[in-house]
Amino acid sequence: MKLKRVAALACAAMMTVGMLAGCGGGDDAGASAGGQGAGAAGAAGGTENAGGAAAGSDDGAAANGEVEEIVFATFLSKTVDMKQIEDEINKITEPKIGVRVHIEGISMANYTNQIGLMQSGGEQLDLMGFIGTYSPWLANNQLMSMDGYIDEYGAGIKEVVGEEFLKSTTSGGSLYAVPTYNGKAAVMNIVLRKDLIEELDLPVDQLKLAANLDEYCENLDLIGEMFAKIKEAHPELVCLVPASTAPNSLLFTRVPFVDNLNDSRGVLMPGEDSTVTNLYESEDYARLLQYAYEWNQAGYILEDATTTQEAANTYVQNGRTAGYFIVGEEGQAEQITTATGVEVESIKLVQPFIATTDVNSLGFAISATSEHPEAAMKFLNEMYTNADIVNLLDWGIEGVHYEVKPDGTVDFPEGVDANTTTYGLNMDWFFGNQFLSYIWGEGRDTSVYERLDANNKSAQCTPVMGFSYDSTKVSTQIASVSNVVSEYQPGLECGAVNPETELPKFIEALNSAGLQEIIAEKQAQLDAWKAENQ
Amino acid sequence: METKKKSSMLRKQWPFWVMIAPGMLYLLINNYGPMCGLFIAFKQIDYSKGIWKSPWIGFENFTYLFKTDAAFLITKNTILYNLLFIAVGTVMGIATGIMLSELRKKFETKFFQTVILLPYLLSWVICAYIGYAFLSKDTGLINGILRTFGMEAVDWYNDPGKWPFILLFVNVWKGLGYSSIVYMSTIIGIDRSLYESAMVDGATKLAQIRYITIPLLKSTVIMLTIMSIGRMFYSDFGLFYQMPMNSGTLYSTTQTIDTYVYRALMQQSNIGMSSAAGFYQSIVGFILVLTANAIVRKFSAENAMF
Repeated sequence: MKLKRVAALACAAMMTVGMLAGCGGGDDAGASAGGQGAGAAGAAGGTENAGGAAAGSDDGAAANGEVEEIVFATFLSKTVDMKQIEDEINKITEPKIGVRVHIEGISMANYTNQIGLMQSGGEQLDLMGFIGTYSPWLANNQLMSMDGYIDEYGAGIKEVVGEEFLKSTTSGGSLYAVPTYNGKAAVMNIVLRKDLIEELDLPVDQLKLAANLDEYCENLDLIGEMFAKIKEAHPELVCLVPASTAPNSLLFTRVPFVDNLNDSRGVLMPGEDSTVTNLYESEDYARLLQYAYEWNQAGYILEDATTTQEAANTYVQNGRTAGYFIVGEEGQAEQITTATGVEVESIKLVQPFIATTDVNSLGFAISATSEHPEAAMKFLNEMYTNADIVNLLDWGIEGVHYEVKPDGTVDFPEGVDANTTTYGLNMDWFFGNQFLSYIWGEGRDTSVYERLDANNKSAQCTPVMGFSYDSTKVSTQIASVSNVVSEYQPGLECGAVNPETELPKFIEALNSAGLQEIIAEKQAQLDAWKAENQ
Repeated sequence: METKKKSSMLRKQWPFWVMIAPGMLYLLINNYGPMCGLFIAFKQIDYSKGIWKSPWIGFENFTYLFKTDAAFLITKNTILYNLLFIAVGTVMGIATGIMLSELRKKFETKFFQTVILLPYLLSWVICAYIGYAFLSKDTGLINGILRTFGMEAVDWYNDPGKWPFILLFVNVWKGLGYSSIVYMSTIIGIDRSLYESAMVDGATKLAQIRYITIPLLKSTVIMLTIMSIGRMFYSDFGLFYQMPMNSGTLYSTTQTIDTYVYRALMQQSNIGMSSAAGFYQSIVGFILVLTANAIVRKFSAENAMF
């Protein structure tokens, strides 16, 4: 009996080990095969692109024949073979700038951990993309200052991104990262089904770009009236579903023109440029929560709003909702229509306001552990100035993953679709300068990038652009405040609870969790930052 | 003499040592190796300096677990739920194990065993959505039934008072298959002649269970309970996070140490603080196992694990 048990245990253990070994072995084989392939492709690229090299030889980098290899880590929206893209990119970059890039694609869920492990484990890592982690990475000293390299090797980046936006990734006078250049001037939109607008003759053209909270509330009043009409004509529909899950929120309760200073725990209210205050305690926030509650009472809001994990678009697709609020830019309606097959309109409700985190939430940085910062910067520069590189990263290989249509957009080639493509990341919003890339989808408006660029340039920016705050000193308080926020926020922002009774509880819980200490710390850092930078 | 005995034992046992070697190795690499990393809990990690050179900060990484109002709540919830689960889970497990072992036909045993085991094999995400299909306010089955009878729909995900029962139910439903199999296998191993002689003496079914099965199950029960006590400061993350669909309003009855840590550190990539939580849980768990075992040894030494 006992013997049997031991034997069974041993067998189980062996099987487990065998499985692990199998995985490891497979990886190794793949990696080494990949390595060989890279070498071969590199060599092939060298010969094939002799002509191309001549064209770009004014850079002179390839002339001395030295090719530096860098590792570029990026998160990916799905698992794809980056090797094919890497090879095509190296065909361009090796002769032109003398850089061979190895792209380390990591799934979104593991990304931050993986980067930490690569850095602490001493693996080669030179360039890395980030999504929302600029401040913590900066605080953890995971980033290398770009000061010595940007002027010499990244001039194109400076020109594209511009002084104002580069401030967002500058700290203590040094540049630590480069933000992605895409449409930054996103604002609150109301998305509504087109058929309902037409059927009920909803006065969407009366909605205007609000310049302050009062005008924004006028918009909301008008929207409330539209919801009443929709509900009367179609009682089976809801009018709103949360467009944000985890934490669930209807989004429209975001007070316009507020600079959240990274995390909403202590903010600059509209018009304010020096005093940090508690957003949740502001009258403006209470005023917007009141709308959420009233709308919920009137039955406009999905009953499961606080718990649903479904994307808002799923509800649109299934004909369950008339619309939702979302933060978006030009082309929002088109995107939703493409995703759902339902014709919608997306109407902007406020004038754009760009805060530091709107700019530095996406971007690229050189790892503090990098031994090839110049090469990394050279490659990064290509991502902001070379349309071929951008399109390879965004859409893949021409003729294989996409083809250019007569109207200047790109789409799948014959016989390839979203299910069969071997690339299809759809991450054009991320890799470098989006405005260099093609626009996906035949028939789409190709002038949209010009409008986005114009909006970027004309939008009002926060008075404290570039202020990033280091939360390490108050990480204990942040830990408990985060829990309080996730406890109360979904209920309040989905209108499920009455703000008159719940908001004071929320504020009290925040204060006892240490929000005031966070605000004081933020204030001190802001004062120091202002003294240094303004 | 001694060495000769040893070497002959080795000669006889070597196949087993070879068989167990990969498992032991795996255990060493997977479970013991990472323990070296415990010191991270006392460091403020600075990636540019590397793990070794990062500054030591003593117990600062631990403060967030104790300093706030929530500390009492999460510790209370974790411990009370675990006690409840251990008590109810054991009783239900034994009862089901006995019932399964009493089934006469092999087909019946297999059938019920499989049906009871099925939930154990489902991932928590799937369980959460099965729960959601029942409890959703908008489309849930229970509310659908309530509405057809003209009753008010219940907002399950915003009513913390109901969740201790829901969580207990779900935990038993999910874990029953596994624990009942463990008990059943022990019961099957009991010498049949004991029952036969009991029957000859006129013992009823209940008396057989009361005087034969349960006393013989004692050591299994104690072993499993000590093991669960060791995990007293842990909670099943899936049960407490996925099952309530991460609903904020339910925190007063669904927040445990694990979910608190997860929510606290979601926004900060602070590996020092997260290893502090793990360190705390495992040290307390270790102490609890030793204590529980010491108590058992005191009262019935033959049942103690070590």
